[in-house]
Amino acid sequence: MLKKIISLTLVIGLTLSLLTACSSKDTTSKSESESAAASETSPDAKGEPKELVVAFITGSNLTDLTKVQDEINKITLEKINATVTLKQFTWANYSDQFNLILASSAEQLDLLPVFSSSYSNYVATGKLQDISISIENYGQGIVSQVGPEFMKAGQIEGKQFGVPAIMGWPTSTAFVMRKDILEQVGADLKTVKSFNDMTPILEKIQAIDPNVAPLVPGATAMLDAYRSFDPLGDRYGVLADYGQNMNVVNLYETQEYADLVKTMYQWNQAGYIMADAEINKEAQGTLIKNGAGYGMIRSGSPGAAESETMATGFEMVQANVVAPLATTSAVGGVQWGVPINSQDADLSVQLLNLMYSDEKVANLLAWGIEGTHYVKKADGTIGYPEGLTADTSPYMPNIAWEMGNQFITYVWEGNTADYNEQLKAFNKAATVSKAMGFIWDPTNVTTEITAVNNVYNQYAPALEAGAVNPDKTLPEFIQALKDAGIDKIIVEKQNQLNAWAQANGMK
Amino acid sequence: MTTEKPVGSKQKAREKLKEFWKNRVLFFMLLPGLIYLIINNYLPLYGLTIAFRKINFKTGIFSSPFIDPLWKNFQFLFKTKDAWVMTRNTILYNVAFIILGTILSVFFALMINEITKNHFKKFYQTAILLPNLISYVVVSYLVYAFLSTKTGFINNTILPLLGADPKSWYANPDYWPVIITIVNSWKTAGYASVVYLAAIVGIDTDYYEAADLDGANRIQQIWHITFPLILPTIITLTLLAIGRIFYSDFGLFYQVPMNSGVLYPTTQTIDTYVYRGLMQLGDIGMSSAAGFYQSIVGFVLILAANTVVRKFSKENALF
Repeated sequence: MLKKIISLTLVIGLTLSLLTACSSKDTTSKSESESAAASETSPDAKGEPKELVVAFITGSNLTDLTKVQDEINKITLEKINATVTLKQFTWANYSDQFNLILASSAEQLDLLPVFSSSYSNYVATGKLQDISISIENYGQGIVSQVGPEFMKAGQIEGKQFGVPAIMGWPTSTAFVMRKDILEQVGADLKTVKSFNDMTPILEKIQAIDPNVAPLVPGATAMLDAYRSFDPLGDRYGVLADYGQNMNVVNLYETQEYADLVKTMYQWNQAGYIMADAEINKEAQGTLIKNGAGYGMIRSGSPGAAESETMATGFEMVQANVVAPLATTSAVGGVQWGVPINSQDADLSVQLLNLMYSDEKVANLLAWGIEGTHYVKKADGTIGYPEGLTADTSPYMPNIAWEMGNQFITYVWEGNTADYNEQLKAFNKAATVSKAMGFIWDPTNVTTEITAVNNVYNQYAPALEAGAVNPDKTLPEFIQALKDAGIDKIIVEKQNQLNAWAQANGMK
Repeated sequence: MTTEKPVGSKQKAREKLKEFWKNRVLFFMLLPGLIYLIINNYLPLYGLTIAFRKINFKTGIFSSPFIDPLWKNFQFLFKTKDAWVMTRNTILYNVAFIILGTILSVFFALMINEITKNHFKKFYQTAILLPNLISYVVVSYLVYAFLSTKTGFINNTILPLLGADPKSWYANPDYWPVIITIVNSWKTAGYASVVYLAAIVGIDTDYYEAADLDGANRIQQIWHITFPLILPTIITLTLLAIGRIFYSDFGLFYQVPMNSGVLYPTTQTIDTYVYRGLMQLGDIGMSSAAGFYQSIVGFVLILAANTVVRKFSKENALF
């Protein structure tokens, strides 16, 4: 009898475990980097729920997500007669999950952040809706905040498919180093204006402890953040000289690149770069936090040092070595689009309009509920309330840059209160590439791009970390690129650029 | 006589139905597996057309236009120099894995079979199977602990013992065929050996007793009894492995070399090439074409290998 009961229970248990797989994929992993999706439901006759997906980078899990969502809904219900559902995704698999959702148009999704690397592909495969008319009717708040010149970054053939998220746009390269170490060797980053200026400082730092190298790598090639050129989307064929001319050239054949990798090689040989840099997978901040190094090369917008201070736990300072440059890839770094899954593009754009122009909504999304998740400080910034820290806060996505309009949100402590003003000034002061608004279509050269991608992955990380001798390897790299067809890509890009320039009445 | 034929076939059908009804419970138990097989393995076959289309998500798979020329999505697999390197790597590694893997697994199975104490038998079985359950991400860090240039076990402990200089393991592609083969054997030998062990255990002990009476020693018994009787199992597993000869374990070739570009000449396989090349492009047509290519080749090879096996020993062939 007992045996029968046990076997029956087992059978039921196993059958039920089969059914758990049927649960919806909406449940999120509460680990690092989650994205949130917001959906709107209009409680009136339409009754259609809409969702907005926002990608978060966060080290904490957002246990108070529903609370924040309810607060947002109070506003959206009143203003646009819709509610919002926030959906989180992780950095590890957002791309796969987005693709899955977009492929099955049955699942609802109304707003989606798209990164510049996938933007033209999404448009070409019909994953994003043409929202030109919706923006005209309901998105004037967005246009006034972004600026009509930068709205171009989201246009393909004159149609608007996405809206750039407002943040510190221009790219710039900087060395970000630990302040205490710099003081220890008596160096001052203010004197550093180029890579060569760093060499004596690195030498002094290396002398402190020969086993610890001054510079740590990130998870991508070490010179990935270097931008004295307009990458025109994918770095295969670029506009040199800050995009002030319209000649597409091969970045890896330029003298500038050769000089850079030579410097990196010398630094690596002298021990200034962490060992096994080319296969590193950790983030720069984590490495410095754990004492594997003292500084890094990264993008240098205002607040870069402050953000690394938060990540490493040491006070960091930065020195910019490349002038700020605004390119389509940079401005369109993150764009908000309406995917084909959405049933009501107009309503989605209305919500987007709120995110861009309504301070309350923007701050709720970025920082949470005032009083619960943050409090205002005397110097004009905001910070944790009593009792909460970075580890215990139930709502700290720390991705204000992604949520639409960073400039209408409060400034977190650590940055000065005029951080947003600094960013606006940074945006204004940047050189604007002549190809602003040009997004190229790679469909004719996909074979070559696949091959070139592999060649790049094979050589660039090692070259840029100085792990191999450029005298021998750089010519190999260039030859391999040519064999893979980079010249064909460059010709194709140049043709498209010329056509775009003519269509826009330039040149 | 012509009137008997229709009756004959009807009778056959009726007999078959009776047979089916008699064993209806067994067929019923077959149903879940069959449904799963149809839904998971046969229904998705319609997706093969993706390899020949230019997919537009707005209109769906079947309304997307066919690409022109039809084989455009396949070109990237053949056009460049890299493409041949990756194909060569995939095939050579798989051949090495099949040969080495079979030898090791059979060897382990035989050894474990010789152990008399049940206690130890179970222990070794578990120990040998354990690596198979570890994910390759974890394995890649285990390997890193051995091969890291500055802090690795080999560079810091083993090489100084032998009086050799530390080597930059991740910077030289020449070492990696050996490293990858070792890691793969360590991870997968246990799995097949359990299958072979099951086959060995199924051999009738009467054979061994008769051999003992004839004066055969252990080695002779293994060679003349065990081997021939597990040959069907070996052939089956090998045929299945041949069917996957164009596939590679992504974790093994991407994670273990820590995605190091310098090692591509000896660690790039079809799967890693497709992943690295298309990650950014997101071109579903091209990645489907790659999968199509791999499975078609595997299919043809299995049919060919099976025909060859059938010529030699009909009962050992898969079908």
